[in-house]
Amino acid sequence: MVRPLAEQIVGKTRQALLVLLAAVGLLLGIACANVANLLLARGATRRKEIAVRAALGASRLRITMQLLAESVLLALAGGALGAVLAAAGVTLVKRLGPANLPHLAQIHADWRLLLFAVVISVLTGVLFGMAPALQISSGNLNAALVETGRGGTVGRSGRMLRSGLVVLEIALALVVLIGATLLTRSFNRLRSVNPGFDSSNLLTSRLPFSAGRNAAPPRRVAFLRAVMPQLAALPGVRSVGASSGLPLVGLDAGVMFAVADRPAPPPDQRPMALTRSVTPDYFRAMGIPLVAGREFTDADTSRSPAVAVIDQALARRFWPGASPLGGRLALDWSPPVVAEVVGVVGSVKPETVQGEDWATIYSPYDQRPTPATNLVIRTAGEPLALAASVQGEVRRLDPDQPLVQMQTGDEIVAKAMAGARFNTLLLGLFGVISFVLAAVGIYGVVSYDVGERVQELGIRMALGAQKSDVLSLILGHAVRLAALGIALGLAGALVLTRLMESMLFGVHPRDFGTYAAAAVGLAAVALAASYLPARRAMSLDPITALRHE
Amino acid sequence: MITLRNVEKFYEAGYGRTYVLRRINMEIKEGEFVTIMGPSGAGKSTLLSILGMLDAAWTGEFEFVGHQVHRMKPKDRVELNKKYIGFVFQSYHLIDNLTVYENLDIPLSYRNVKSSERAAIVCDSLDRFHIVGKRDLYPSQLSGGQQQLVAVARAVIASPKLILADEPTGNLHSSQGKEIMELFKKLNEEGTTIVQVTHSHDNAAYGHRVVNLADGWIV
Repeated sequence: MVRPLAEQIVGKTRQALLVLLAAVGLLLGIACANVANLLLARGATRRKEIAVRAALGASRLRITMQLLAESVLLALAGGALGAVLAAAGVTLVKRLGPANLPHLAQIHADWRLLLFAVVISVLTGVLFGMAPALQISSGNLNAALVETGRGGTVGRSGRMLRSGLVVLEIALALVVLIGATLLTRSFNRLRSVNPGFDSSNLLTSRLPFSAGRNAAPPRRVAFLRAVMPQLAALPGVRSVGASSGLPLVGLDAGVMFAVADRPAPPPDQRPMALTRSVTPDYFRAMGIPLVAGREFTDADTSRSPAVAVIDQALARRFWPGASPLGGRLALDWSPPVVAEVVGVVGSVKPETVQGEDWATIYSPYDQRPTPATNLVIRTAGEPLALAASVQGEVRRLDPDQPLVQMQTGDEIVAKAMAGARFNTLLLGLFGVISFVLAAVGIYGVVSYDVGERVQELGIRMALGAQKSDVLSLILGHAVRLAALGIALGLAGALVLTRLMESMLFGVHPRDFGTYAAAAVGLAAVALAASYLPARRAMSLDPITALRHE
Repeated sequence: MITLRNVEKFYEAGYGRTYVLRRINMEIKEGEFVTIMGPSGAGKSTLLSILGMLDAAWTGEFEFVGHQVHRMKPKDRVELNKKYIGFVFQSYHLIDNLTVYENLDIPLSYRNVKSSERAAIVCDSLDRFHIVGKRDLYPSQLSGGQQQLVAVARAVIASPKLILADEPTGNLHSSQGKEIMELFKKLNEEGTTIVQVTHSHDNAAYGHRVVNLADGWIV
């Protein structure tokens, strides 16, 4: 299959990066809505000052520009702090990011990042400062000069705008939260997937035979036959095997084949299977279960009849409901080989944990010695503790034979899940931040609302409101905002989580449980955040409240 | 209806107690129209707040329509307020983000009156106070006199036995003030007990008797 180079490099990461970018955008939206709310609240306390300025001749444009300048300055200060944090974040991403993230090493903070921060800051300052500026500079400013004498309570438009911003915040936070929860659940599912082999107490290492004195196929076989008993004799080693490829590392080699003695499909429609050349103890060392038949033995050599062990995926597909043992596979190698199936083993995940099982054909290493060879050593204890001894044995036999990429089975599994873990970590972090921002936002609005409605609450108390009436009045407002925000957030999530489909494993982008849990969680936080100011409202002294200006 | 015995209110200051009200003994019978007068700081509004159950931090005995208020819990005092008392304030204290109709509906909503009954009562009240045309207006769209008219309508909408009015004409010009006082007189004639705080002798003349306060004492 031919694919453009750029797609080959970033293809699998592109969707994840887009989703993370969208999450960052939503987070920025939440933060901006919060700041806009603060600006509105601050503006409301400055109505008198603005009214005096207007009375002294300032035009509405002039006042709006002044307020906008203030919000842009605030955004720039935030942007500067954000740029510093971003530089630190890049270092963190380089440390924590998955090795397969394209150009990870080249990522760094430079003048373009700074320019982006400045542009985004100015844009957000203007965009989110505009609504408060227009709101504050509009209306009857003259009333602001005289309103304190009328015993009035606060008007509707400012409250509506602030409430609208909180609804927006909650909606955006819920989208991020649902995305983060979906990824977390997907990651948990991923962790519970059996890769087909036992990754614990397993040491692996590449043993390249492509050059040097062991490059010739007979020498490869001879070297392995010499080194494996030495390694098996090391204290703490339970079994040793070798294979041309390891699970979760890549698809590696494949072969077209046909089941002999059955009508052969045309050459271009022949099925393909992954192939692995393995030594007799490979399956035991890897912890891959033998399902039927036998494993390879030392008697399966280049001079003995060709044999093969197949995995369950291939057995199910070509011998459904029947035993494949004794069946024969015509393998399109050069020259073609017909091998008898002597055993069936469990399927392993060849490339990714979330990937499908590929039909796999195992051949005895002696019959097909490959230049790419991996040692697998099952140990009794910590695998890396044996690394030096293993290296020593290989060097003792051939000081020039390289032994590279020593890693444990657990490291292989962790690397296979690194991308998913990284995405989950980042989106989880965004989810937590959005959760906190939404809580702060609703707390701020309800708190400000209580402060603004002190006199109204006093009036209501004088007219017979009990503390419970005050509580339900304040909480009711918060509940309405949260409900509206959650409804919008759910609708938004239904659309946006479709982008995440390729990042999810075992979880549907519209998983009801996830949506419900995130909505309930956010509603609980919104209620908790508004309960504190509501309690303050309940404890108001009606006399003081009535005198409040 | 109301009996106060040795009612006192004070604040603890560093150097001792600062008294707002001292040894207030007072009796108000049902159907009376009582005026409380005195200079600023005499304790008039504080006394009115105590009578209206808005202020709980006082000592002494307070009996109200057979209830020992001084022995009641705050929640029960609010219930007493809801059942018997209507308030009129100098600054009207209408809620700005509610219409005239909604402002009138508030006291009923706190008295568990069914919504269908509430609508009928509010409409009656709008009719009675000749403010049907203002029902959908917000307080900021009304004059001071109209706002106080709505405030009085709100005070009496739940048919209270007692109306407490704190300088009800303080922010109104004389003709508007007279209109409100005539309204109080009419309500009193219909059986509602009224206690008003005022600086105006003209307004005091609408009542049956005057209680004078000075430095927290009845003089």
